[in-house]
Amino acid sequence: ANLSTALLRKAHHPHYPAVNINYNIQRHVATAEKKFECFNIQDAKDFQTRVIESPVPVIVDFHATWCGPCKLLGPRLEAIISNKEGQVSLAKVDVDENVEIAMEYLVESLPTVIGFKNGRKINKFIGLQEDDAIDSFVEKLIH
Amino acid sequence: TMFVNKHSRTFIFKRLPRNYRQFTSSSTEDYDLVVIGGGSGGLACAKAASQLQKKVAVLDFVTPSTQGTTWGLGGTCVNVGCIPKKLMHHASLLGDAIRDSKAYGWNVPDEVQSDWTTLSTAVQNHVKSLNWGHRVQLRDKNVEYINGLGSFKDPHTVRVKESNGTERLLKTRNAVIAVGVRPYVPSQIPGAVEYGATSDDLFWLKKTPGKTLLIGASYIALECGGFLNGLGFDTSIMVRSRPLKQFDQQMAELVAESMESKGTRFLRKCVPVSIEKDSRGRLVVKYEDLTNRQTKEEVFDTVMFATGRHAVTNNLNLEALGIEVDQTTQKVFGGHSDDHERTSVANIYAIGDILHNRPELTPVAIKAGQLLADRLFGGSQVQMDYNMIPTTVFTPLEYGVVGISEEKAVSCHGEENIEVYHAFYTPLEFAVPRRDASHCYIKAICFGDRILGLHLIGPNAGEVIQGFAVALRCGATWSGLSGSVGIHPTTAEEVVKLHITKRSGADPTVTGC
Repeated sequence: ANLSTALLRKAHHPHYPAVNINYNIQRHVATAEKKFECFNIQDAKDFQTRVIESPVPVIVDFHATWCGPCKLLGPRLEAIISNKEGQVSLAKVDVDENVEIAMEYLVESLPTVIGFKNGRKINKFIGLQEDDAIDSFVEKLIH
Repeated sequence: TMFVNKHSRTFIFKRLPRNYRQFTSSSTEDYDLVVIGGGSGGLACAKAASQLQKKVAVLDFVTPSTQGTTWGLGGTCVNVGCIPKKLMHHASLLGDAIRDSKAYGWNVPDEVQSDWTTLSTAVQNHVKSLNWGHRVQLRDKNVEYINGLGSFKDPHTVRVKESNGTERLLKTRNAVIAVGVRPYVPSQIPGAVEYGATSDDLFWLKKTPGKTLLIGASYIALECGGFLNGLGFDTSIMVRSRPLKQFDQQMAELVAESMESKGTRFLRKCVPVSIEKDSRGRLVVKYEDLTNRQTKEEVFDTVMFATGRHAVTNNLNLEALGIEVDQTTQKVFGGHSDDHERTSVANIYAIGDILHNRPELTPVAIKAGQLLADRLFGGSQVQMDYNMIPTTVFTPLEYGVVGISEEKAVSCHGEENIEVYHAFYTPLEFAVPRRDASHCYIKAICFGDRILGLHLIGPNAGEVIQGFAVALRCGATWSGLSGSVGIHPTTAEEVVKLHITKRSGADPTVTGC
């Protein structure tokens, strides 16, 4: 399935009730060109390779299956980052699957979002945020 | 693979992806304290010891239940006890509230149904957030957490076998056994172990419980039966002799009657004979009615055993160390050398449900754990006070109690020396929807001016009794209690308004305002 249908599917999923789909995104993405990297971290080695050693900045979304606000934040992050034309990637870390990584980065409340650049932690926010707050966070990381 | 070199002195170490550990300051492999069991008691003790700058490790491991259920860090209370129980109890009370609300003018449909999946998912999500919270807390308090099964090699060495098979030996000055207890399923009943669920499984059931049989007369059987009935499930409770045998019997009977009046079926004086599965996957229970020796049969969707909780200490290697356990329950004896929690081995202690002959309650385990840490490392001499511990049975109509039962008071002091003040009362909010209040009852058992026990059945009994328990601990007397002014209108005020004695034979029903 291409990214646009994935976004659409998520938007209408019962767990993502508050997302308004922006159909401009859909047209933009339908050119079959991957607009941004979005991946689930499998383990520490994966984190090392795809986040620490990533040539582009990476936003890491620490979340959990049992966390309500996380399910709302996820699509917002994806929507905003998809608009950045590949300047930043999105890594998702399920804290139950990757406890050690979460512990290392002192994650406590969820969701916690940390921006990484050149292998270093640059900025962070905790909890569900509004779109403009997320956007300025992402912009700060990129520039 | 091991990474700790015993010749290393000072280092700060981070290793991924295996267990996150951080050794700070002059590190040897010696621990000041190793706690076996990451439940209410174990975590409290470990954190308290760590606060006193000690090197502490806590071991936690969940052996799957008979039905294969398992869970995360936090012990029984968090995962398969207090927390999910209270949430489901509340869910069932909300059903009552919705029905009552009609009389109060709310526009609600005649029939409301509960959805098990929505409820259990919400409860499980909260439990998982608590598992996570505990992980974070341990890290914050600098307690090392090891997900593994502990056992004793010798009094100063704990062997831990992690889930991936690796074994470690932890050398420690002190150890605390806080492994708790697990449901006991009578294996001599055919089909019991194979098909019987327990409280370990109920809160994690993927499919709806359906028509349920609970076997047992403990507070676990009654609480679970109570909320299942309240959620709309056809619920039966099979009781061999009497409900709530460990509690005041008059109160126990009132609680059972209140549940019966709400539609829970009690199969009294019955015992299970066998459980089989039929062709449709439902459970066929054969049972015997002890009054007439007749064998009966009935089909259920779920059968849950609440027939006691036993210690699982056989894998701890206690015998080799000479740590004495009770032969029947396998619980560890404390009380050695004048310390309530010290076992027969000087540097090893037991707290929580695993400790023999002490209340199986989370706050008891927590307090005992904290006080123990203070004695071990903080120079304190304060022992845990196991007297006047309040508790509450969270049946739909709750039963809160602090102090002893009437039977115990009479046997200790003689019936002629005991005065029981009692009252049947009606919570104000029951009046409008005309809810049955006939089981709302309070009694204070007094020996002169001393209050030996306070018992209350009613909504929010747990909340009500907490304050009175503090008062009793501070020495509140009968004259002090009855001389207090109530808050109106509440049910709690009925406690201070008690004045009719059982001895007088007068009608104890509260009338008017």
